Amino acid sequence: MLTARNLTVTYPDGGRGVEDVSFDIESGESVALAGGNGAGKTTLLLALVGILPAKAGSVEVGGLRFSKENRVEYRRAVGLVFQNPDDMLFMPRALDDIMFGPRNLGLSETEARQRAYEVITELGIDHLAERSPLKLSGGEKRMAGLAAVLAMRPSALLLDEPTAFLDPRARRVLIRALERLPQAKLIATHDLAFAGALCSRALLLKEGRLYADGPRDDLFRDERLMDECGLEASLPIPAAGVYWR
Amino acid sequence: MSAGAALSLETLSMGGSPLHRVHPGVKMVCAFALIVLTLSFGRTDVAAMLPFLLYPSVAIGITDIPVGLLARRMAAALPFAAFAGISNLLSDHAVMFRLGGLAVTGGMAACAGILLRTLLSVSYALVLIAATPFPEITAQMRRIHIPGIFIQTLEMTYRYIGTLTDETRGLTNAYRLRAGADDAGVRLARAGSLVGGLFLRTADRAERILAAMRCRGFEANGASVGTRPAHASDWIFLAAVCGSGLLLRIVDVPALIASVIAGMG
Repeated sequence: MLTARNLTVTYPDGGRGVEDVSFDIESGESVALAGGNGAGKTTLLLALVGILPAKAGSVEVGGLRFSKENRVEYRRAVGLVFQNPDDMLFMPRALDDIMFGPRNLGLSETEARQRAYEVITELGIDHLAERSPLKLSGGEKRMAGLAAVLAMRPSALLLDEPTAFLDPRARRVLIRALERLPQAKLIATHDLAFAGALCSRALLLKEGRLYADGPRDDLFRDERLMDECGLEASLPIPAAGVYWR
Repeated sequence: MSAGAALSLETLSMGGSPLHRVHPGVKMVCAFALIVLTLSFGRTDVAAMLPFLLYPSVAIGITDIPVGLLARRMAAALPFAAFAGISNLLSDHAVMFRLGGLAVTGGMAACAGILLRTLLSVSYALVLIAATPFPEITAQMRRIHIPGIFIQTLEMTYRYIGTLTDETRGLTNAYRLRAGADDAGVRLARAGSLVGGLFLRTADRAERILAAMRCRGFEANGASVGTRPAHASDWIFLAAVCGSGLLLRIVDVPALIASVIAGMG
């Protein structure tokens, strides 16, 4: 379970990040995190992995509360897939990027490789392993970035605008991959159709505060609520699991 | 080194030639030994150094590294050596020997010696980089306990080059598309804000990359790639390169050949 309790983050210049945000996400649950530009979605995700320090409140995963001392153990349990996969891929081969996390966890070369190939096979991207990240398409980079995080075997997965830069086909491939993952997932996105395909619950952020938390259909179809959060409710929301068919 | 060339060398480093398969630590020791041996020649021992051209030549042959690419990278280093060499030309006019009708002075020999030493040393380093993935080089540096701060600086600089290239490409493309007829290059009057913006963007991006690394357990003190043990073939390679290098340093092969030819005459 991923938990935030009264989480408040401010930027070094005093600017507001997120304020007094609390929620729980159960194991296996997929939750959409929606909000207009600048609502604090990325800030919240970075705070949930402890990259941005909390001014107040706490975050925990599976009962492990984040602290500076246990940050490595904590980040093993919570994986963040960045909005721009180029930020995550910096090694000569995609395989090296996927092995980067396991190696940092102290796994042997053989174990790290084995773990990387498990994830690669699971996601069906074996053909990317030996290729340079520079030569991958947007969709391939996204899958490689996802694999790089999954190789850490996290129990919770945070995704920041996962459909950014993706064409419809790559988007479908990503949905299929995410549907199969057993982790608790928090998906920050503007793409409500994508969120609808994966999540039955949504959190709406407005100006850094948690404005609404409830069933996806109730929230996404509430035009006034969506408008207040800088979102549009007019998109058709498919039932979870049917988007790609 | 331009970032584009760095990327080409990086791509080459992922090859599968016999030299690529040699243990990275062994290749580093060999490159270091060859550089030391090359630099140990006297300032005018040009002919005695020539056999050392064998090493980069064989390496290029084995790995299929494009000679043009290496030549361009070497060309970047040679002007500095040329400056140092020219000062010798001006200071040492003593004639050492005559080559046909040309009087070869000590300054000319020293200048050629500096250029050849630079050419050889840079070629050993470039061959190493082109035949070894960069993370493996830094992993070996960690293994031999080179100070972490030096390795981290090197790693971050290396990654920053890629980031800087990406951002530069995006920014200059966007500039040129809106520069009208003035799209051949960035005008000086606009360069300041463009370069300032570029550094702010790259710093921002570099921070995101570091955050992504930290999310995956990076703590700035561990190797990001593993190391494999050296096999017997690696030790044989080490012995062959260093042993032959030492032999070529001790025995002046060109002088030996010249004396044999003179003896035959």
